[in-house]
Amino acid sequence: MNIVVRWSVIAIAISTLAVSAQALTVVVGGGLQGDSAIKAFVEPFEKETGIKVNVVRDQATTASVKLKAQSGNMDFDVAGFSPAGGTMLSRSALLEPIDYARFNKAVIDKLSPESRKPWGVQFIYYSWVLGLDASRYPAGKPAPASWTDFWNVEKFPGTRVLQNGELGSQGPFEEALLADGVPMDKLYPLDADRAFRSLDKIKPHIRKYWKVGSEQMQIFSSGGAALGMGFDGRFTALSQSGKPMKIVWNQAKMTGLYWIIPKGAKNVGEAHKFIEFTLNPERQAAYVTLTGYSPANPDAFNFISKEMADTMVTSPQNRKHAYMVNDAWYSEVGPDGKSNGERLAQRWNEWITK
Amino acid sequence: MTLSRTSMLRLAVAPAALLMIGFFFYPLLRIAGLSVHLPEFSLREYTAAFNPINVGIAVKTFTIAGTVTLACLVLGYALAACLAQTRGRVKQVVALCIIVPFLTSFLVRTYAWVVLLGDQGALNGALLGMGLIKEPFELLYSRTGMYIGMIHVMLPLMVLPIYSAMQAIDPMLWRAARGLGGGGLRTFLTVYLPLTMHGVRSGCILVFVLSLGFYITPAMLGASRDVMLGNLIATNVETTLNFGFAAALALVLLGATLVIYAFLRLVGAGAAAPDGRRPAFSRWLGDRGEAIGARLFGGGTPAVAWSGAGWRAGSGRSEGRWKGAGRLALFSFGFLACAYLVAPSVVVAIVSFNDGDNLAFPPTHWSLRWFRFLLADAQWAAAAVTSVKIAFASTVLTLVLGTAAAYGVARLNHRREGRVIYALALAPMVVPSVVTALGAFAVLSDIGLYGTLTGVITMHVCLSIPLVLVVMVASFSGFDPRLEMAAQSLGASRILTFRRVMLPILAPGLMSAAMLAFLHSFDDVVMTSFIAGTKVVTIPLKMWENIRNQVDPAVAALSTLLILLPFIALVVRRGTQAGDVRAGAASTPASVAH
Repeated sequence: MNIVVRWSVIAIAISTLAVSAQALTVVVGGGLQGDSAIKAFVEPFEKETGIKVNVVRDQATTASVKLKAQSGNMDFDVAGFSPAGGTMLSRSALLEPIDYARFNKAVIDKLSPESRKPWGVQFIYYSWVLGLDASRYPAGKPAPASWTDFWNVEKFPGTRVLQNGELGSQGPFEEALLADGVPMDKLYPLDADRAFRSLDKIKPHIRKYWKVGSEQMQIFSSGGAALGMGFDGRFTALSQSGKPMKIVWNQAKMTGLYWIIPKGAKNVGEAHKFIEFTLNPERQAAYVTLTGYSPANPDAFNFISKEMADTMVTSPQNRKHAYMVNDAWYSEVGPDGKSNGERLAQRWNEWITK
Repeated sequence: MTLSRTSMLRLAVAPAALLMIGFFFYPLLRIAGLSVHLPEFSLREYTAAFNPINVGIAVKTFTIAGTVTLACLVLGYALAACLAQTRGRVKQVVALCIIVPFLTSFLVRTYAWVVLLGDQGALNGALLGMGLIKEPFELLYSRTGMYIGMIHVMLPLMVLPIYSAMQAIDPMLWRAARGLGGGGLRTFLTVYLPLTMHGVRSGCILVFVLSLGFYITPAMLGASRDVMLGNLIATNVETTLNFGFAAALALVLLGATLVIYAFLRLVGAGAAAPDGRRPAFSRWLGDRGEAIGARLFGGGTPAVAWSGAGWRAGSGRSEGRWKGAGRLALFSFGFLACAYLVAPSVVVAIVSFNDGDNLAFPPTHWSLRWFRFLLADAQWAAAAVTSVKIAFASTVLTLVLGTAAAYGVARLNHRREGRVIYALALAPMVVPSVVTALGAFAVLSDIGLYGTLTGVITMHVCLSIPLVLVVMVASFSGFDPRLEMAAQSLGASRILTFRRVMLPILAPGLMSAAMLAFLHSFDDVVMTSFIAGTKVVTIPLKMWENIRNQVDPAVAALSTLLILLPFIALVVRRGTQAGDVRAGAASTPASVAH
C-alpha cells in the first residue's frame, strides 16, 4: 500500500506543478516537423517576446481535442491541423474563432484568401503528387507525366501505390477523375460514381494503398514500387537520403496545415502572437527550408534558394500546374447528417473489401 | 479464523473486481450509453453496424483471428514441448528466443517484417541470389505476409501458458504410463495432452481474443483488402469522431466474442475440469464423438483407437529409433521456430547500426550514430524513466491483485459464481483498446486523474489483470488443492502454506504473469495516448510518434538496447546463483524485477 500512497503523492505534486506554470503550450508535431518548429518558431519567439513556450512534440487529433474541450481539460493553446480536421472541429464549435484584428495587417494580407479561415490560419502548404523511382525512369526515356499516364499500365508498366481512402477526407479520388479526363478546374463537386469506376480499372495493378507518410517512404526506399501517389516533401526527403525520386508537378493536389486555437485554451492572446510570429517571411523560410514544406506567405521565397524553391509546390513555376483541395465540399453535410467525406469513406470500405 | 473458506475466496477476488468495476465496466457502460445516443435513445448506429459490408469485415476479422490461433496452437504446442524437453544451456537459448521478440516493441517488429518480406527484402534477396526463384515472391502486402507478422506477435502468448502447464506435470507420470504398457503416442494422447489442456485453452483464448482487436500489424503487412474490425473502430473514433458508431461496433464485437468464448468453454470444459463435472453440452458432444470414434476404430475412445492404430503402423520399428527420430524432429522444429522468432529482432539490431536516416538492410554505412543520439537525448531519457516507473508500479500492483483474484477464481471455479467472475474479468481483452480508452478518458477526467501517473498506472493495472488472471488461473488449476489442505492439516498457516508450498509450484506461472504485465504496460500505446495528457510521455508514445512521422533507426537502436536486457539479466543470475536454473522463463528480466 505504501507504494500506492507514495505514487499518488508524486503524481499529485507533478500535476499541480504543471498547472501552476502558466506558459503558452504549442503542439508542434512529431519528428522532423517538431524539431523544425522548435528551431524556426519556438526558440526565436521565446527570445523575442519573453513568453515561455511549453512544447508538445506530437500531433493533436480531432478526437483528443473533442474529448479535452468537452471535459474542460484543455491542456494546449495552439496546434497545427489539417483543413479537414479543423473544419470538423469548428462545425462542432470546439475551436476559438481567430481574431484577425489582432494581427499585423502587413503580414496577414500577404496570405491568400484560402489561408485565412475563420477557425484557423494556414502556415504551410504541401501536396500529393505523382512520384517516380528515378532509377526506373532515367532521363531521356519516356516517363509518366499525368494521372492518365499512371492509369496507362501498358505504356508504363511497374508496381504502383496509391494513398488509402479510408478517411474519406483524403484519398485517390481526384486522381481517379483526372485520369478519366475530368479537367483540373471541374473536379468539384466530385463525381463519386465516376471516381470509383475509374479506380476499378487501376485496382488490379495497385500493390498497396498506404496510410501514413512513413509507410509511403518505406515502400519506395525498399524498391517496393516504381511509381505512385505520395507527399511531395516525402519524395524530396527520399531523394536527399539516397533514393532519387522524380516528382511530377503536373496535377499536384495542394492542401496545408492551419494553426488552430481550441475552445478552452488558457492563453488566447499569446496564441495569436505566436501565430503571427510564424507567418513572418524569414521565420517561414527557416521552417520550410528545414522541413521541405511550402510557405503560406509567398514573401518567404525571397529567403529561399532556387534549388529549394524548385521542390516546393507553391513556388511560381510549380503552382500553376497545381490545384487546391476543396475542403468546403468535403465537409458539406447532406440531409442524412453525413458529410461528403464520410460518405466517401463508407464507399471506400465497400470498394476496398470487394 | 471465523471467516469461512468461501468468504475468504470472495475477499481475495474483491480488490481486483472493484478496480475493474470502477475503471473498466463503468466506463464501458458510458460507452454503451453513447452507442444508443442516450438520453434520447436510438438504434440507428446498430442498424448501420449490421450493414452487409460491416458484417463482411466482422466475418473476415473472426476468420483471420481463428487462423492465427490455430497456427499458433500447432507451432506453440510443439515449441512449448521443445522448451520442456530441453535442459541446461539449450533450454536457456530456447527461452531467450521466445523472450527476445517479446521485448521488441511490436511496432518495430512489424517494421522489421516489412524490411524482411519486401520485394527487394532480405528473404527475396537471398532466394534470388541463390537462383532459387526468378521473380520475387509477393509476400509483403498479402495475406501470407500478414499471417507471418501476426503469428510472430502472438506465438509467445501461446507458448507461455502451455509451457507453464507442462512444467507442472510430474515426469513420473510419463514413466508410469510407459511402464504400464502405454506407447509414446498413447501416453501423449491419454495422459500428457489432457494434463496440458488448461494451458492450451488459456493460450487459445489469449491469442484469439487479442487477434480480434489487433489491427496495426495487419494494416502494415497485409493486403489493403483485409480491413479488420478494430481498424474500422479506431478510424471512427480517431478521425471521423463517430463515437456512437464506434461504440456500437465495439459492443457487437464484444457480443460475438463472448458467444464464441462461451462455445469454446463448453467444448473444452470436458477435458479441463479436474473434478469431472462436465457441462451437459460438452458431455453430449464428447459422447457423440466417442460413439463415432468407436464405430470408426472398432471400440474404445478415439484417442486410444488412434494411438493403437499408430502403434500397429509403427510396430516394425524399434522403440528406441522412433524415440530418437521424434526427438530429432522436435528439435529441428524448435530450431526453425526459434529462427523465425528471432529473425526480426536480429534485423532490428543490424539496422540500428545504420549511418543513414532510413531502415536500410543491410546498412550501406555502419555507425553508432543512433545509439549516441539516443543516449544524449534528454527527452528519450525522461521517457525511459517514466516508462520504467509506470511499468514497474503497475506490474507489482497487477501481480498482487491478479494473483489473489486468480486464486479465488480457480477455487470458486466449481461454482457458477467463479466461472462468471472469470468470464467478466477477461472482458478487457475483448474490448478494443480504443474503446476502453475512450471510456477511461471520460472517467479519469471526472475524478481528476487525467494526465497523471496515477491515472496511467491505474488503467495499466486494470488492463493487465486479465493477462495475469489467465496465466495464474491455469497455474492454480493445474495445482492439486489437496496439497494446500495437507499443509494446513500439518499445522501450517495460510501465509506459510502460500510461501512454502504454493509459491514454489506457482513460480513459473508467476514469472510468465509478471512478464506479461510488465510488457503489457511497457508496450501500451493506445490507452496511454488517450489518458496521458501532454505531461506524461512514455517510450512507446515517443516511438509511436516517431514511427508515424519518419522511420529512423533511433527506434531500432532503442529496441536493440531492450533486446540486450535479458542477456544482462542472465549474466547477473549466473553471477548470483550457481544452482540449477529451474525454468527457462526464470531467466528473464521480469524475474529480476520480481
